[in-house]
Amino acid sequence: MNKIHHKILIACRGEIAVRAIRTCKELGIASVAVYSEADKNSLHVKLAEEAICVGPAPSQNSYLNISNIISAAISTGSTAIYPGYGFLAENEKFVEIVEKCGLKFIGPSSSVMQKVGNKAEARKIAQATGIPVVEGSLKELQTVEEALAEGERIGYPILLKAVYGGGGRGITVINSETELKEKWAITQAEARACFGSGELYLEKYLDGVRHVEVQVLADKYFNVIHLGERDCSLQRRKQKIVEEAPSRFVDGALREKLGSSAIAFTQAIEYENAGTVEFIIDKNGNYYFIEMNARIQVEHPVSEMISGIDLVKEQIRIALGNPLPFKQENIRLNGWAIECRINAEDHLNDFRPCPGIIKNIVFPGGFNVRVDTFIYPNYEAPPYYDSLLAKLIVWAPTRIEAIRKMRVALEQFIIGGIKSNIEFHYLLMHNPDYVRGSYDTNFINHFAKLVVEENRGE
Amino acid sequence: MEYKQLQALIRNFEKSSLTLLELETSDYKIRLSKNACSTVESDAIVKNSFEEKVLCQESEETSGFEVKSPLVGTFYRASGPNAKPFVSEGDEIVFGQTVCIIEAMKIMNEITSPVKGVVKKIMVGNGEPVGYNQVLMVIDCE
Amino acid sequence: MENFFEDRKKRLELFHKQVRGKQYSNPKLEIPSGLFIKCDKCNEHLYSEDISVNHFVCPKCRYHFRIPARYRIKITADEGSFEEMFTDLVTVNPLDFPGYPEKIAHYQAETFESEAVVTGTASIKGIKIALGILDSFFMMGSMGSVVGEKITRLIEYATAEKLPLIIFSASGGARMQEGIFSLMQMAKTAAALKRFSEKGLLYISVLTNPTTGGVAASFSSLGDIIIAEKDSLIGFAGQRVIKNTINQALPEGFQTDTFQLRHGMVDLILDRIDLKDKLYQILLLHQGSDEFGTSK
Repeated sequence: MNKIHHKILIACRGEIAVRAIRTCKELGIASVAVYSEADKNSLHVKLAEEAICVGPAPSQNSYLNISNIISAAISTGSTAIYPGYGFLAENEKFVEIVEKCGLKFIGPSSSVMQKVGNKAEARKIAQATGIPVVEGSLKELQTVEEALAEGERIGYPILLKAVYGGGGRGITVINSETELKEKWAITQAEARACFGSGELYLEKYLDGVRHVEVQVLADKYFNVIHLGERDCSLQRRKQKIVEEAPSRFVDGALREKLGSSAIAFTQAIEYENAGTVEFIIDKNGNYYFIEMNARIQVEHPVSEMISGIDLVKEQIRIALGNPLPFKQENIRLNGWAIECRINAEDHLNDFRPCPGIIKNIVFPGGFNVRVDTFIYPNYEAPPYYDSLLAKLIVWAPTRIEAIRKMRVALEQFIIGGIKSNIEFHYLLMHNPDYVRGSYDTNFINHFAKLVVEENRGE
Repeated sequence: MEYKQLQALIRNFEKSSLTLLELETSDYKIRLSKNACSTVESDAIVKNSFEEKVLCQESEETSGFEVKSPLVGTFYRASGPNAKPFVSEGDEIVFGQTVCIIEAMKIMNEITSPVKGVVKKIMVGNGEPVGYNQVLMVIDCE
Repeated sequence: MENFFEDRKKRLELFHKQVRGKQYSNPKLEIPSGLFIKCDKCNEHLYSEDISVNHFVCPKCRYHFRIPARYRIKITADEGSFEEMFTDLVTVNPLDFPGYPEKIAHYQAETFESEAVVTGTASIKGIKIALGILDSFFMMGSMGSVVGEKITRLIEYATAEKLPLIIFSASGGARMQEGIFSLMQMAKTAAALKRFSEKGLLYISVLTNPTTGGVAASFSSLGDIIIAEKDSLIGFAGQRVIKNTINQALPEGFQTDTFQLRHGMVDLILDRIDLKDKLYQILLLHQGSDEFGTSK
């Protein structure tokens, strides 16, 4: 039988594309990078063995253009596609076409993605598997009457959510029956505009909850393991800014339960490759399944640091048909990891994105200090995409040591020529509430305002 | 207000630079708002200056008119494996003449020359992959 | 800075040439054909499923692709309601036109239809109608004796059973190979329609892309209500013929659906997706009372 010499098309950009190229090289697998015209000077293009332009600057016509991406894969002789995160990473139609063309998608299959993509369906499957879910509707609500009936049964306040939403989008808080009647049509319309479908479902609104997510890995032989949880409660307007692993709000017993629930769900839908199962934990320590994300996430490095496992490498290995080289009992979760997302934004001006030319850079370093980035001196970040410049990740045996290490790393991280939120992170790392670990999802919004006020005071 | 009108209103609002829209008639009242992290003006200025600096950098390797690929796909010099190439270096070509084929997803796209002149250099090998706006050939137009 | 990257790459290439062995390249993947289609109008590469779930309308520019008769039935009539009629007519070659039987056989094999029109009864949201659909994939939907006869019998059936009539036209015109027999169908169908009309019955003519020649000049233009589907070419003779005959430049948008609307030749232009609902609305309005209108 002829050995297939795999060639992976890396269908993403920025730091994750650099990560993927590195991993392919480590594995000795050929790779091809894609780029939009605006990204022709991007680091991932410079480092790539082979690169092909897939369209003009706007993502719609390049990174999101299914026809161009697949054509690039076929004409370069690629055998697989690595999607990274964002863009087409969770696009079922894209995966379906990739499969039809005989290419291997480095992720779950299109049918699994469909199951996961329908949030109401995912909840139903979770419940059927015996995993606790937030009280709410288990299928799409067809009419406002159905919604009102459910609302009455569950009790307000409730969350009205888009079935095909996700990532914190497409969620509206509803406090009363009247509000539900008022907002029903507009929420449907918004959902249809953003996600292509106006279908909605309902969940009880629990206040003061913590968001944790569990990293899972599954191979095609139905071996599934989890790498513990990550805490992503620090969000500004639903955008994550600092992530940690493990979570302060999860003790050993809860970790066991979260882990086995995550594995149970992953097995129930026959998921393959890396994924993340999201939960919320209420004030009483009860946990509930929310949804699953069928991709590698931005914050994957914190899980890697506490487990010692290279997730991107495992993604590729799994996709090429290898079994997982470890079982759950081999997984040891040690210490504490923190990730700060360094963005090109002005935290004193409503976090306005500040693209521009990076004049010079000094990267922090040292024992267990990691920087995942794509910036280099004289690089001009294009204004068409998100403002993430770098991820700064540290590991230490305890949380307080990790915070101290992060402070030093931030002090020594210099990006000259553009504004970045390094100082914001530095202030955060010194904030007593953060250090104590008493914060919820509203914390960052308040903290940001505080920073602006204090700055004016100076 | 009809559902379709509402959808269109939301879409247009999303696309526009408005951050707040309030509409009131005798029948209904609508309020749409969004958070804008940057003003549209500065956004456009930044994009324009980026375009000037980075996107419009002309390569000075070969002077002449560059025929660029509008697609991502495979470059073919002829209509079939045994056919004669459409053009070769040194050939005189006219406006609208087919100079090559870019195949993408099994769709054959004929690329025609937008100028009249002489084929100076063919930049891509037969059967090689080409990206968006990649230079296929350089034409010397007198 | 860019030079540093280039320099490093060159050094690495030098190294690998000496140290590494073979370079591999895989054979090019054969993907299934027809997965992507180019839109005739906007040249966008479209995923075939995106087009088919969209009623064969380009999702980018809303260009309406031509569709075969059976598909038209599927998206217009209630599921399972179509009952085909007059399938026993066979095309002959009255003028002994060379190559004609071969051509017919070719199109029959290609389209799985016996002729260029499909006739029968169906219901639209419960309202029973007589339905005729020309198929442009069968010899450009050209009208010969069988097409003319099937349509005439359909009209007569509708007259007898007092059914509203809907005919979807898509044709290049009268079929040349049957000469005067084809042209005669124009008169035959028109006459049948007159008798139909006298009974106060409703005939909706839907013009699709293209509707030209003898078909446009006969039954297609005789509808009580004439609807044009978006992007339809509607005319009589070909543009070049007209231009050379009258020796004048043709007006902008000549023979497009919007041109015909502006000049009063059609009553309404609709997107394919809106057709079924509009037909239902018209049928409902015409129904009025229990019985259809009485003859004078």
